[in-house]
Amino acid sequence: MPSTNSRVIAAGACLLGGVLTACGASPRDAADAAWGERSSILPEGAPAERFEPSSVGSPPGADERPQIAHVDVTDLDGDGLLDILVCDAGRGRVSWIRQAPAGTYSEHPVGDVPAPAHVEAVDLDADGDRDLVVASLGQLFPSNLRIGSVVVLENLGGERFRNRVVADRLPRVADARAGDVDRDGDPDLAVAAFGYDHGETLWLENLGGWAFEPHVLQRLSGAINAVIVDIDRDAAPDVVSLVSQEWEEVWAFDGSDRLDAELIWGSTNADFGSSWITVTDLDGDGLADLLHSNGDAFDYAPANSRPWHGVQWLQNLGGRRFQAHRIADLSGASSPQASDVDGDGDLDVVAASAYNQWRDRDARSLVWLENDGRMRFAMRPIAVAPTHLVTLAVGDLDGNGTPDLVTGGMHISPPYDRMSRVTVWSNRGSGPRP
Amino acid sequence: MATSLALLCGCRGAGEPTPGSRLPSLPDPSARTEAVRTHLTAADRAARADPRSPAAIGALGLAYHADLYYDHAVRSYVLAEALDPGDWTWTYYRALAHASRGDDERARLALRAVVQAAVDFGPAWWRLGDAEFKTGRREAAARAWRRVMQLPEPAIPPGAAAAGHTPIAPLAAYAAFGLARLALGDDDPARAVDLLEDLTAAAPRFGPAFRLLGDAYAALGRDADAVRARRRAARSPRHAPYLDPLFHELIAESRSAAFLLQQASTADLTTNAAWREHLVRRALALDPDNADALFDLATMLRVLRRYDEALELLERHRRLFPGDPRVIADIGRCLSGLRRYAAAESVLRQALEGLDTAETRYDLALVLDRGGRLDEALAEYERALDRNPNHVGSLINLGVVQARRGLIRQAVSLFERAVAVDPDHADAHVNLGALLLARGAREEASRAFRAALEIDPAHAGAADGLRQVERR
Repeated sequence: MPSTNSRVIAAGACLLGGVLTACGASPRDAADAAWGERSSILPEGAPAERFEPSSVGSPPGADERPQIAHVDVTDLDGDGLLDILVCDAGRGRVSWIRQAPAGTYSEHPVGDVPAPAHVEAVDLDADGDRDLVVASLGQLFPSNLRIGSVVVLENLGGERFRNRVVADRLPRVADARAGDVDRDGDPDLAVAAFGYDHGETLWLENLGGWAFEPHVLQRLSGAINAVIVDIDRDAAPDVVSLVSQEWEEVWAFDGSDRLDAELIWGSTNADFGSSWITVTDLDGDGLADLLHSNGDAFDYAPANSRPWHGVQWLQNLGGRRFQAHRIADLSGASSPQASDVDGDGDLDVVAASAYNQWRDRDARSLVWLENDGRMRFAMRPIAVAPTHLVTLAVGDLDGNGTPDLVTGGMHISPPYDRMSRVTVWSNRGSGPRP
Repeated sequence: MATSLALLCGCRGAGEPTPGSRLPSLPDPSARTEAVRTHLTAADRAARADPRSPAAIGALGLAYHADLYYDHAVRSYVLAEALDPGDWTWTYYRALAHASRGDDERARLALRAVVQAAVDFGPAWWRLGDAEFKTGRREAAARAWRRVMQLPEPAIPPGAAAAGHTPIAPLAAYAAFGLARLALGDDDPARAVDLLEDLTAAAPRFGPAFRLLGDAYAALGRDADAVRARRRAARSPRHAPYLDPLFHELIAESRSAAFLLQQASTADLTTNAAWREHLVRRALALDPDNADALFDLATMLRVLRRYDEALELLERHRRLFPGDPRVIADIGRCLSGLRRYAAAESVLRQALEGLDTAETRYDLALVLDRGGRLDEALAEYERALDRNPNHVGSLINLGVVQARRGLIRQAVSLFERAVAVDPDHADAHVNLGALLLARGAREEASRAFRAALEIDPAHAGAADGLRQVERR
């Protein structure tokens, strides 16, 4: 038994006989209050059968273990068909899986980048086509070396891209996003330099002519995401960052106030395993909420031993106040995305799992969190294979009016028997196709 | 009598459940190891046998908590708290459980209750400070952390000390670290420097504090001090959570390999190798076929150069879970460490079939290098660099091979690349200095040796090189 330094009777305690329960809140009330943190989780629903998987892009080589760090869905060539952008950390390459004609996908390498971790399509040079902003880790595995960089693959037209390194000698860079941070009319870049023991969150001021000046916002290791969004609706873009490692914090850097930092969420569990934030107005109240996953587990034990892994909705209450709602327990949770999967008018959530107990053939790698319309979510398993899905994107690839999913496999740990590179999960509606 | 008491307190109606019936049901046995099953079953039985005993119910909560069943733990703690509102330990443990699940709001509320009851229990104040900070209450966090700094350091339980646990820093240092973060956030780097200089003087192995001190110096424009502080951080242990006496109880109670491995993962090998080994061996004893525990222990022993012991564990892992190339590569590394180069080469080539990475190529190159097969070693170092152009070990060793072959220009270029990739690698500077000196570039050589000594003042090669420069 643990020792007690002092025993002070709490106010309101009923001492008669020493065996009676406390007055005021009953144990049940207190217990219910304790469970309140889980009031947004509904009982698990039936497996979702609406998604049909198919591999797209160039298949893995005979001895290849795919290391897809990020996928995104966008119409890169403006032909009206959604394409897929891929960061392949194993091949050290960013590629474009072009959909043309409809339903036919072919993969085209667009640039060699060391361990690319995130890609975003944006017209950075205002020439009418979209360039690719790429975060480069330099190497996938932990390192304190300043080997990270931000690379822009300048779209030259005709499916040609020019590789421009706009910032280098950074801690390993996990994310880079475009937005007009300084409101001078051109896109700047927010950068999450994960590093290892030391990292940074910074923004790169666009000076024109492909020159960018770095401004460090914060020196904390483990920056995973840096997103530019007006989080407080003051008409000034903010930089919102997710910082993992031992910090486990979400910060907002106020664009209207010299980018002063404000902590908007944090966990005292230094092993929480924050893995991703996605900005979305989940409850449709006009304020940008955050979907947050914690499931990073590339270290000491099977992820399913960590009951704290899961997905949270950080509800924006206005005035830079956020309230966390746990919406799912999911080992290895990663890359949550919001979309109205079932077309019922509210936003659901889909999430992948990168680290799970894959020796258990029932461990989930992809789930749908169905919103009951009252911001309560029931998990609907989508898949147990392929495993090791670290990245997930959503888009109506087949144009049938329902959101499809795209996943990428990160196979850096065993088992290696259910691998994938890039998979499209076609949403067929409510049931199997007749 | 019972009726009158119920009327007096209004606590429980006639139809309300007894404490025993409120106990959580045991979780699904199929999801547990035998050790956890036995542990929880015994604790559950004891609690049900004495359902009005706060000690028995609290102990059940502790068992669930230590085995990572947080829902069950919280439910049990709430019952124990109700049975004995004066015992704040169950509230404290409930706060820890809430915090583990990321619910710092509930953790904060529980900790506020704890510090009212246990005004001198520093760990509760420290955790309260953390929870206040993470929930955006900076002033309250500062108050809590300042309180910690006035309290005595809790003693390490004798069992933990005997098992080798050595705190990286005292509790007050963790509180000072929090206060320094607040000071930096308040744009007061001078205050942060004051706190952190005192902190690092008292806790010279607290790596994160040196890193934060570097940031504070940088904010004051003291760039050279910032570089020195960050270098010190790089040579110090990484973040290690503070383990208070009650948390040690949790560790002692646990039968969960995952929980023990989690604690082990935060113990650094320079300060807490024995503690880490103790935890991993306990995990392995509880779950003998746990692949992660086997691999973790083997890796740790390999890093500690206890190759024979590591090899035995790796071979066991390979028998239990065949085909994991990481394990095969580690077997090769152990054989290399044991100077069994022929066997190491064979195993590393086998590992390459499933793990063709810069690291594996580098390890193979090392084996070939040590066996005097320089041409083959050179080819493997180059393959390692093909896979990772920033692989510093390969850059340096390839440079050494080239220098031995008389290709000084190429060797200098490789050392320059190594320095560019890792400016804090003292050996890279020293090797560069040695070649520059051989080429007669005394000024440049001197700079390289001085750079190495800045990084590692005890570097014998750098000091010797500098003496040679001065003699010439």
